[in-house]
Amino acid sequence: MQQKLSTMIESMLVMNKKVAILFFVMFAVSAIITSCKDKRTRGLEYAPNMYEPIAYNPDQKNPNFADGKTAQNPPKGTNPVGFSRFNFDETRQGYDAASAFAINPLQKSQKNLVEGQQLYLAMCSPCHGDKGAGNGHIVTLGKYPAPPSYANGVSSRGGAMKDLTDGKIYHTIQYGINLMGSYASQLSPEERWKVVMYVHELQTLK
Amino acid sequence: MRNFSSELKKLHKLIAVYAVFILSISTLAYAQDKPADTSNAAIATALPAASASTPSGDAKAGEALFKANCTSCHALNKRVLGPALAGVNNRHSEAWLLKWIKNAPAMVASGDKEALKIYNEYNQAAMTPFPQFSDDDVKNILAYIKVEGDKVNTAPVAVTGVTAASDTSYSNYMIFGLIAVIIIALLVILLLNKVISTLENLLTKKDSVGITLYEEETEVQKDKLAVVKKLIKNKKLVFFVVLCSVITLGSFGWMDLWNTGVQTGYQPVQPIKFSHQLHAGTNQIKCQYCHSSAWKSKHASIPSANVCMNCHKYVQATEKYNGEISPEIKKIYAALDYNPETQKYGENTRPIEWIRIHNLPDLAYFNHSQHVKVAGIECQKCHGPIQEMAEVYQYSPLTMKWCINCHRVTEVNSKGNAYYDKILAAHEDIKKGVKVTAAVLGGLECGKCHY
Repeated sequence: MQQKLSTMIESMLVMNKKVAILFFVMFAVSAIITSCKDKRTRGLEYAPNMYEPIAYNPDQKNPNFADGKTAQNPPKGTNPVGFSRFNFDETRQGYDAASAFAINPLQKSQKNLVEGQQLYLAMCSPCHGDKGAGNGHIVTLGKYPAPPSYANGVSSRGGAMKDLTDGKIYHTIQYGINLMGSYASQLSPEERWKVVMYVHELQTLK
Repeated sequence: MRNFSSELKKLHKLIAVYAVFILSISTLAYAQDKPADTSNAAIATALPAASASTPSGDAKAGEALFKANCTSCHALNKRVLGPALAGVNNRHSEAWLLKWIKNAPAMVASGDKEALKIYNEYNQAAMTPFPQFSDDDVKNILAYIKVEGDKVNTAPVAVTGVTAASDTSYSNYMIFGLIAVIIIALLVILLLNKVISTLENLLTKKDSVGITLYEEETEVQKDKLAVVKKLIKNKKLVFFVVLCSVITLGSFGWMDLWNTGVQTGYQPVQPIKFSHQLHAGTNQIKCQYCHSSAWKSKHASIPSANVCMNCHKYVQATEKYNGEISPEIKKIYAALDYNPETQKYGENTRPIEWIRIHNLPDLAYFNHSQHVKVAGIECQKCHGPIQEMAEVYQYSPLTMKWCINCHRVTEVNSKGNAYYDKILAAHEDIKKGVKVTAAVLGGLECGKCHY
């Protein structure tokens, strides 16, 4: 039985020598092509037209715009739906006006405070510290100068940090001051007010 | 044979001569570097002695005041928002500085020439008045600035001098080493050629020694070939070898075919060498600081360059580049057309062309906020140990199987989620026999049809 099988295979081998060689070459080539994987390329793709977007992705180049970008800024003076504009200038006068007239539109609630804390921890705590004492991780590493503490610090624009009003804190988040940049692109107006609410909590810490 | 050994002897001689030659060159190079080294050290030691003088205030008390009040706008050795303060004692008189620090805006308003010059040079940013400081406080701060400023001014000279010297000696060694290796290689090739030609000469002369050697060699060759030929003739063996290779290559090929379009490990070269290991790992900045839209949008989004500038207006890593701004941070400045000298932004901006790594085709809908905000999944679950990646690569396969497998085992956390409350309420209504329309289940939402 075994002998018969082996002779059969032998005869098959002779018969289909060309076919066998062809198969062998085919597998070898496919193995070689796919095995030399380069981490710098996306590798083999089958029917990539299913993967390539028809519409422009925001991060793609776009020849339809003068600056070649797909992600365009909204036209000047337009407001997205539900967007409340902060009508105080990036000046000392604007800062004082905001302090006098801007009030947090959000109701103080546990939910808003928790969300404010979450945002504060992500956006502010690297410098201001988890408890707002001006000892964030970057500051303790010595990579960035310390901001004043919310509870016992002195504001660079006069007055104690613990007396900062809604409008003053919001104005600072919106425009930045000294070495602090503007956080307007990272926090929506509603989120900014939540952070303001949480900062008021930190001002009362001793 | 005699010829051959004599050639070897020649080779020995040559190598010995060449070794002496290399040694003499390298010691020469080293000797050239040495004087430069010592002269730099001399400059470094001479400087502090020349500029040291007794400061009038208490530098220690000044340090605390300086760090609490000044560092948010000033540094000793570089421009921040205000000027670098090292040497300020020489630029202005102490009486003027006392007045200026206590109330700078008033001095600008009064039209003091020195005050106006600084005000205009630094983008008309008003310096905070410090009326709470006493004269002694200000003197203490000035004393601290003098002591520390002198240290800062002299330190970089010594550092750059030494590193520059060691750099050149290192590169000199490299160059001479390379030249030496190339020359030795050429010599060896020449010698081997000579050896071959002498051996051939021996053979053509048909010396008795040469003939026997030649015959022995060919016999051995014949034997080897015979074995190979015998093996080739054995069809069972050939079949076995072919079968084995087809199976191994085939299985590799099959596995790789399944991985077509799967881009795990994809790690393109990005335009800026941004390290997540440094920013998210060492500095422990939260992912959402930069990818803030992951909470509220379908996309986690690449941060715009203004987010980089929140820190890199100040952080320039100059200590790692001999006082120069890091070339990678300069790329951000170039993209924003920002001039770190004047701290002003220009008009000639251009986007940083990051290369997207994680890319789902349009046929699959994936929403970041749904996963990050609603489900509360950590970024690392899909993106891997991102805080350890100096260079980001694709960690997960992003295949449908991968999505499905996770969805099969992840339990829904419906607590405090109004969406599930409504669905459960609708189910209760159905049980009770109340009519529930499609509108109740959100069937009137625009996006249900017009996505």
